[in-house]
Amino acid sequence: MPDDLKAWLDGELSAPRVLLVRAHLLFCPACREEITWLRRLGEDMRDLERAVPSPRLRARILAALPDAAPGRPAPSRLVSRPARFALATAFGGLCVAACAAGALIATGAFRRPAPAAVVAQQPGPRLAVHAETADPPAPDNAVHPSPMLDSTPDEFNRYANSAVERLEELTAQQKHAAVSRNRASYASMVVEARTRTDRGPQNAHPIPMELAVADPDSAADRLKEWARSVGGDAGAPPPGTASQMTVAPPVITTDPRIPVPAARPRERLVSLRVPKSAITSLEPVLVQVGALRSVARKPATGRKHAAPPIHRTEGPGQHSVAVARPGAPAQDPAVKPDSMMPQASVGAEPRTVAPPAAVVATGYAAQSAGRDGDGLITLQVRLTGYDAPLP
Amino acid sequence: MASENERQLVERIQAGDRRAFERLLDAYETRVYRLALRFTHSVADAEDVTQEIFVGVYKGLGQFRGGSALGTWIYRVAMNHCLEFRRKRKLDSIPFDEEISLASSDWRDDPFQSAGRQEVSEKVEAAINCLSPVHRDVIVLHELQGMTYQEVAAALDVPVGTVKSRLSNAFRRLRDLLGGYVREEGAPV
Repeated sequence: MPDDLKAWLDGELSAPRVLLVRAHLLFCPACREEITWLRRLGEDMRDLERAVPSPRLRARILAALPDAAPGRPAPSRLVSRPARFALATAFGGLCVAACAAGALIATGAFRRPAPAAVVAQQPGPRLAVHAETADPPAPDNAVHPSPMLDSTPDEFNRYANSAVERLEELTAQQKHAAVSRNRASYASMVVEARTRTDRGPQNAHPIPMELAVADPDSAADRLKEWARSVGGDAGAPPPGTASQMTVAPPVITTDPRIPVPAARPRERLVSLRVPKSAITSLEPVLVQVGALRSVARKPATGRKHAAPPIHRTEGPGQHSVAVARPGAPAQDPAVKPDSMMPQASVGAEPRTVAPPAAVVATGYAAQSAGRDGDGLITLQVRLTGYDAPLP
Repeated sequence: MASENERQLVERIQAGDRRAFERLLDAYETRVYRLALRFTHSVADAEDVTQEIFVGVYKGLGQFRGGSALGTWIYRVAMNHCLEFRRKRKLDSIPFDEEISLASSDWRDDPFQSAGRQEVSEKVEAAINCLSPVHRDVIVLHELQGMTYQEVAAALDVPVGTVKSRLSNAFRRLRDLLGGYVREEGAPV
């Protein structure tokens, strides 16, 4: 209970505990006194905190923050501070060596004696070695004395810093040049890869598929949905083709010998660009849209690029599909209705058992896609309604 | 600071927005400074520690994923720095079991009590400084910083029940030190 008094005052007790404490306080004067005392002391304590940070603290904090955003590495200099010192030292050493060599040359150790008035110009502090002579200095006799020889510490520091900065600049230039070279290479690689994997509509070799479905419109929508779900898209059909067509008005005749179609066969043409790897998932979609019945096209005599069916199944209720040859041009939108009418079942008994249309179609598409290499493939699907009456 | 605002603020800071960090400073600088002052007893040291705390907060925000409230997390960072400061400096110059003269009598009866609240504050301050570190920490965080038991538990990395018992014991100890200065004024609740 003693621990609960403070917690009760702080509102940190559970409801049952609160009831318990309140009941206890009714009968315990000592605890009531304790409560009063705790409350008073708490109030006195709250008056203690009056300290206010000075404005300079904010400035100090902001100045001490790292340059990089939280969680990111700090931007590194091309040459770190220790490396700068090492470079400066090495550069100074090189200058000393050059100076020694120059001195040897100047003193004739390696060359003929030649009085020289050498005024060396260098990027650092202007340091000059003067010699009493009347002859102009030969260019190859120029001596670049080390600034360590007769320069003040400040001059040397400035010289070393400028030398290091120059080295940094050169390093940056080399890095930039390397990046530029690589960038050109990368660009060509990207173009090549894009050409290989992402053929444009003009360069693509669409894989034509012809399917007989119950409802071309809903089948087209379902196929587009599938294409988007596998990361592809459903684009407009290539120019020169129609995305939707009604192929013929119903024949109106009074001659009982002429069969009258119960409905107009309709066509939809959809163009799908999908990843090659997604082809295998097309099969259940085709089954779902009802590409189950036979459709065969009469050989289009006299037509160039006629697309003969590669598979044909006869018999009602059998699964079959006619698939055009890959690379063949899309069929003329003005195709005559009788060429797309269901033919196989007319007056025929089932003769063969064919694999489902979807299996044939997807297998064919996969085979064609394999020839096109990796990446996206274009399926040009002609959906023909088979709502014509069957005998 | 609402949690949604906190999340946006953290995201902006994580993206490198300094102004967003200044907003965080607006909300927490004074409280953290006061906390640091409690541990350092020196303005200069408190400023140093506060600076270290916020630099640590800034660096650590890159890994902050919102698992706890931002304030709780900042107090956790602040407490780590303050406890580290205490460990290094051994600031507890007055042993916590050392009795101070305050307890010798009921100082509220002092004829000079009209000297006002300043004196009261000084007495309470001195009593708090006589507490053991574990008791003083909960007093500082809960009573002076206004943190809930849950937040104190998170800042000290102890269970809530421990906070509750430590607070109760700390007040009992304060009462001993202060001599029960409200005894006469006690009234039924």
